[in-house]
Amino acid sequence: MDDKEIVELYWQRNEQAIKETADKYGAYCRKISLNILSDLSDSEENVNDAYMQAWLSIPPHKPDSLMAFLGKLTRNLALNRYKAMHAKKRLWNQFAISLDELSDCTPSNIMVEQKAEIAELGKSINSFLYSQKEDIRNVFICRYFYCDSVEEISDRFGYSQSKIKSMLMRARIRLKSYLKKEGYYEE
Amino acid sequence: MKNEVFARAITEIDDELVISAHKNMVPRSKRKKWPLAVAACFLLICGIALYLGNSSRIEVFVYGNTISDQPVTIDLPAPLSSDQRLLSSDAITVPLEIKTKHKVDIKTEDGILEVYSRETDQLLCEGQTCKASDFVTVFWTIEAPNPKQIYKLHINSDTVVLLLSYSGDTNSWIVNKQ
Repeated sequence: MDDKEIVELYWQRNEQAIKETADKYGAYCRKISLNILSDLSDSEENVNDAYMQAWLSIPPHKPDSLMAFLGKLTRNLALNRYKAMHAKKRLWNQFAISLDELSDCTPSNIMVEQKAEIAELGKSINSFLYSQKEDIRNVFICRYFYCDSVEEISDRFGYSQSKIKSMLMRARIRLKSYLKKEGYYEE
Repeated sequence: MKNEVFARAITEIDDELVISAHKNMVPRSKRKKWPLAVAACFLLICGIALYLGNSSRIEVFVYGNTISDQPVTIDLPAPLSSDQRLLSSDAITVPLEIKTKHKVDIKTEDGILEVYSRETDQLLCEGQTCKASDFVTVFWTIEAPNPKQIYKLHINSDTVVLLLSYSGDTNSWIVNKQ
């Protein structure tokens, strides 16, 4: 079933929509959850939450891409769950490591509660990514959106791990410089 | 959570980018492997060729000249007179020098071989089958040779085969590689 038909089922309030979503995007959502949470049962719960959230969001939403919509939804829910579960103790999984790599790029003048500012920062990151070569952009998104390990990215893109690390490092340096020009860092 | 701002912000990137990155993740097992396979085969062939080239490199000389498919006359007066072992009128002796990096088997069904060390002149082997290495002198003697017959000497089976025959044109015995 294509995405438009699944979205149509949501709009018709037909529960078959969730089954079709799980069949088509279950593995995709589980992978995103697992990369952030590093726990199978937590990931499974998170994916179910994502289906529920999709059910509640469509309508009014009518996503152009159900895949990206579910990916972002799953990621945001996993971030919330990660934050709640590891508020005191840091879990050193791929997600934490990938976040740590970005610590140098993260503007210190934006608070988590400032949703509008975060959305603006998202737009800047978006513009930066469009200015990059396709392979660098994809590697960057796999690492920092999907939270895939360097080993997995290396395996999937056919580059050596050292090349992936080098691509990511240079992309982060360019991103910091880009964000600096955009006025994200206080002098 | 440290860096949560960035983690949240990156979730805002365009759907197109999210999809594109996911679609470009092609597992290595699905990637074309034939260029690697071709390169591996090429290296293997080069390796085998190099190994065989080195291992089968056997140089054979007579009177200091490398034996090739061009015939070399054997019964030249000077070498014959310089070595008492070659003076028998009923026999023909081919004085060969064999240079090789590895141990080789020398075999003939026609006549007798005497293998001498080039360094010490010591007799290393006598008979129809001998082993030799490095640099040796081999006297291949055939008693009462028949001019109508072609005699063969094998080095390492058929790696090098020397043919001794009588040439009616020059009225002399000649040796050449097969």
